[in-house]
Amino acid sequence: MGTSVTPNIALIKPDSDESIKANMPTFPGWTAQNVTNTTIIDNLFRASSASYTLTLAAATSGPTLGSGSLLEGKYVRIWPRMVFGFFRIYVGGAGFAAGTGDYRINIPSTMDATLAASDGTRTLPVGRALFRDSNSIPNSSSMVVVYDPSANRLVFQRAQGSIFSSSDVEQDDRITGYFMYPTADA
Amino acid sequence: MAIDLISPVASDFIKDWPAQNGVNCDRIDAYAGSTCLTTHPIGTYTPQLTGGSSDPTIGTGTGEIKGYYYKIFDQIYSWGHFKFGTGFGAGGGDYIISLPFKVKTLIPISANIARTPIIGNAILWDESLASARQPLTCQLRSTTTIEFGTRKTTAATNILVSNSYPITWAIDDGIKWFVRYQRDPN
Repeated sequence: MGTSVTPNIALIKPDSDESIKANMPTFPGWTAQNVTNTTIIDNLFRASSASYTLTLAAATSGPTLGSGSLLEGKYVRIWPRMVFGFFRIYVGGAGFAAGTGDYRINIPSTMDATLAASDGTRTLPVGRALFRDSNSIPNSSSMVVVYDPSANRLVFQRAQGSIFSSSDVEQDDRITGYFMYPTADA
Repeated sequence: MAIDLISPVASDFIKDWPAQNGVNCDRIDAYAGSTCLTTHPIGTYTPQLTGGSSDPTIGTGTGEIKGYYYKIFDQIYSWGHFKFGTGFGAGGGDYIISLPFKVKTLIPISANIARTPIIGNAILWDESLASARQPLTCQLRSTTTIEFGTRKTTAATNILVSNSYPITWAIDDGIKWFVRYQRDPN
């Protein structure tokens, strides 16, 4: 901030930091207000995917994942109530134990309460999954991902009428899929 | 611009900014809508269940039909279910369900169920026999209705859920569906 003068009659030439700008009020509220506004707008557009800790459980006793296993959960929240989730499960090789009971996975945000309670304890379709039976490819199948409100988990409805369970799984099997639902979480 | 926001030009004075910013904030808030709030309730509607030749009746007692939706601008996410109750009537012909909003589709809707767009998934719920519960496809019957496809057990073709297939309907049996599509604004 400073000034310079003309060479002949010493006219003062303020630079850009002088004069009007120097005497301007500081508008102390605007900076904080603008930060609030831009944060609100930015939070609406959650374009990048986030990871969540995917857990694989069974109704009676949980499975033990084998060597090289993978549990991956990703999700995106749009606008911001719609949750779009993607998951990959590889049960692993040596050391895998299937556990006992219907298989279930967790969700990244709470299911909208109105929707969860819309039909008592009956399940709600929210997506699709593909089961790859590595030991018997013809047993591989497409399943509907359903939300089970009694367990607050996702389970998998098979075409044969049963819920995907420990009896369907062996070493090296895989499940991948997607789901979508509205949440009331902040 | 999707939203008619004020964009100040070089000759606008700073003193005009608070009013212009206020207008812009109000327009952004109105455009985004209350659906940006996680506390905003999801929409509800009453689906209509009709039959290809005669309409089913839901019945009383535990019988019910409900529909829900969440909008992100013109993208519609909708869930619903019906459950037959006391004194229900199975009707005649294919089961058809109405949607909350008209569908905008670039793919022609066909009477051939193998060629009409699939927009979601469903579960056929047999209350008394778990092994009869099965995944269904949700296909466009028209721009305002869906039908449900299932797979025959003895032939490699799909057919539609109807008053007589794939189960003999009883009290507390029903269908739960989930669809997503682009809304036709007209």
